[in-house]
Amino acid sequence: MFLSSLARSALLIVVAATLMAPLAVSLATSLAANPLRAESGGAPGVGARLADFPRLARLWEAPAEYLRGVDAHLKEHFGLREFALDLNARLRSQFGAPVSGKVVVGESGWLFFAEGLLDRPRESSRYWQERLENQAALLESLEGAVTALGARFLVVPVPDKHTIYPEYLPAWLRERRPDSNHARLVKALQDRRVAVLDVEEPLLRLKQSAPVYYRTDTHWTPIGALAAFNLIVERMGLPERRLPIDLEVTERMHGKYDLVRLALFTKEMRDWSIVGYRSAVPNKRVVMDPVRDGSSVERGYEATRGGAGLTVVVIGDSFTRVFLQEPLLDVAARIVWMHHSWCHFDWARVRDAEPDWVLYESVERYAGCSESALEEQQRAFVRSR
Amino acid sequence: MLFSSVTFLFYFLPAVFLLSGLLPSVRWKNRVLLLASLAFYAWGEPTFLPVLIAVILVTYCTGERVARSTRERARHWLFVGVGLNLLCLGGLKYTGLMVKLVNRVCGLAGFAEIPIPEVQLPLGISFYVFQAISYLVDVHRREASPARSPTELALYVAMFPQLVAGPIVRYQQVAARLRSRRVTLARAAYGARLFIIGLAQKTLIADQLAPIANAGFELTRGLEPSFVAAWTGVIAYSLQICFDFSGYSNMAIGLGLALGFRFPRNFRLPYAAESVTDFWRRWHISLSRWFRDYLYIPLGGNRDGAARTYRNLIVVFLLCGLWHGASANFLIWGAHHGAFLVLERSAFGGRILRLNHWLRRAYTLFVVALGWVWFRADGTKDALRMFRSMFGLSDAPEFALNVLNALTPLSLLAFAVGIVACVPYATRMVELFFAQARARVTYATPMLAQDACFVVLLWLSISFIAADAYSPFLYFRF
Repeated sequence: MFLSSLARSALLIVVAATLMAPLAVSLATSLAANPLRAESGGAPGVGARLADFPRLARLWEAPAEYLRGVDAHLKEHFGLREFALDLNARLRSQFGAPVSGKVVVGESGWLFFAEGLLDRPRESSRYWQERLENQAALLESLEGAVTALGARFLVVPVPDKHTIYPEYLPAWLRERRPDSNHARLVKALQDRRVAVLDVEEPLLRLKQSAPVYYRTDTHWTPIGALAAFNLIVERMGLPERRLPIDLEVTERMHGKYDLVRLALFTKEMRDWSIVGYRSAVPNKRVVMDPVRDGSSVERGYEATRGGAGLTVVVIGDSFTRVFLQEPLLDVAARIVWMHHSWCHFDWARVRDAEPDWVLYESVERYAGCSESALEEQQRAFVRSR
Repeated sequence: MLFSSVTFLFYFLPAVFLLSGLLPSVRWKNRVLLLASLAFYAWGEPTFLPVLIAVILVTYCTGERVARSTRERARHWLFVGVGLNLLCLGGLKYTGLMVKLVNRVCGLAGFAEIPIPEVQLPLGISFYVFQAISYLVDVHRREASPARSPTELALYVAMFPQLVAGPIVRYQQVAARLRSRRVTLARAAYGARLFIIGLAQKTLIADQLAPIANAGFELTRGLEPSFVAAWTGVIAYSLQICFDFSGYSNMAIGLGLALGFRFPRNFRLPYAAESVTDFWRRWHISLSRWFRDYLYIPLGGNRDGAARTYRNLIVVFLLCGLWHGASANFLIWGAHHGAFLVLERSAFGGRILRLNHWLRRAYTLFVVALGWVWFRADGTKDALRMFRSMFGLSDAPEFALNVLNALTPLSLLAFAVGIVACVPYATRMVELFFAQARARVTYATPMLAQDACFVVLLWLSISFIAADAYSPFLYFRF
């Protein structure tokens, strides 16, 4: 009886200690550092930062969102997290590759985002063709609406990483990867005579001499982005605004690039650090004004550098949000950036921005529109006339 | 708040147990537990809290009237209480479906469509409304005495372990412990073990199988998966939903025990069932009993001949389907199970009974797995595509890449463990092992070995929670 009580007590003590230890460690470490401070990331992509503690003011403005923010923060900041992650990584590595369903582990330390790669088998080709046709029709209508505003329009589809670097896909996937939605979208747009800029070939050429996409991040590198920028300004009729691609490339170990985190790796992986961008506009003072639409989620931003100049509306995603902001502000005095929201972008914001140029950029994995999105946006364009 | 979240495990749970343990009287413990439960509920979506409080107040007030009125007036108050609860559930859960149906009829008649209202479904409303209704009916039937205070009833309806995904508890099952309870070392330790088992079922099996199931069902959006991909997805989902939901129930029962309550068992090896009728005696037992006691028997049960019995079964299972969700798929899922229950009461049932018990199990698993397709697919079209593939009518040439990628060594291990854990003999063998060990070795040694396994399971589960992405419990959406 005594031994049995002892065993039960031991279990309860260990369970209680396990559940209380993270809080105790959190409290102990918070004496040394303020847990409410914002942390800075270090990775270039979206979602690469650990969650910040939400601002207290959000509790009154949007309580549910505030609580979700607290949840996200606690999930990424509890005591002994590193120990738990390490235990998990060791366990996963015992079973082959530590792969999450969101990431495909390629060769030579390359990682690929599974979305757009594994969820579009070749049998779905016809389905995607219809969606790409919808998007081409939408962009044709958008071009008409933008032209009616007196502005100019250009579509810049961005290829997925596996389209530019297929040689690093795992062998089992290399020959079976889906047909390129990038090439099909470009063709559909060309057939409709929509202004489109195909950056695939230039990126394929440039990759021979410089890294245009990160190894362990979903995104292109500043080199890839700068190459695309140079092509864009050429199409805008401003070839003198091309920038030299002379960035400083070093290789080092990284642990915070987005695919490393998505793959649930805790170890660091070798990747590029690319710095040295020099603005062509001296003493540029950029003012950022995020658009939040009543929630803490940033729906877009308006960036100005003062002075007169072009207004460029960018309807894009993470490939342009940060990567093209700096160089574009050398050309434009004002950028209005918004997410394409999978074809549901806010046309009223485009119109109200009174743009000189509208650039539509979406990465290959987001290519395609539903029929309802096409109809809804076409109605919006007609209404605004 | 999810049981398998950092916030719950490392912040909420220790705080609740510390406070509850430090307070001297049951009355104060109840107050703290109620406040904690409301905070637990509000954490997910604070705007839903008034709905929960309204359900509690309406149920308490009408319950008082039911208990204190004459038989005839009590009946009226029962209708008022149950009606208001159902109105709340129906208004929030089924308005969209109703408007869609009306629009379909209006569309045929050439009338303009009504805009579909965007009503968000409060978390766990189906569970707590059913508990509230069972309280009112039991008070009316004099099977339960009314709650002595609003706090008692509020705690019964809103107690956080079973608030959002059951088990559906009867008031008389917890009434005595709301007034006086004692947490013994043995019960607390048993509760801790059950909680760990549930957490492991959720994080180590269900969550690891989710990518395979998702990959299989994602393929139905726009095309038909291959035969192998379809069956892989359906089997993975069958295991996922079982371990996800029974894991949640075990965690709830374990937490209840550690807090001094005893909740009813909700799962009893459902995939070992030898008929669909048997399956419903093992799957979500508290829901099956609710429907039996508050709907099937009042409808007449099996008292008025075969035809009436069949009708009652179909009605009950159609409503059971609708309870799970306001869509055609859930309705069809209910009809599917209802139809097999009817079949098993006919001559077909006799033939099934004559089969070898392995064949009976295979038949049950097949029928249940077909049902899960309706349950999991995003719409009837997707479900039909899945069925075409499952019956070999798809011409998809290869094993889909996304399914292949989801079949990692870890998920395959979870698959294997899941299948073994569903087999009754495996469970019995483990129990037997410990029983024999207890008889031969010193008393504490096997227990310590067993408890060491539980601690390892807890650490493994926590490591997966720390590493994994957002993983909601499937049954939260009901």
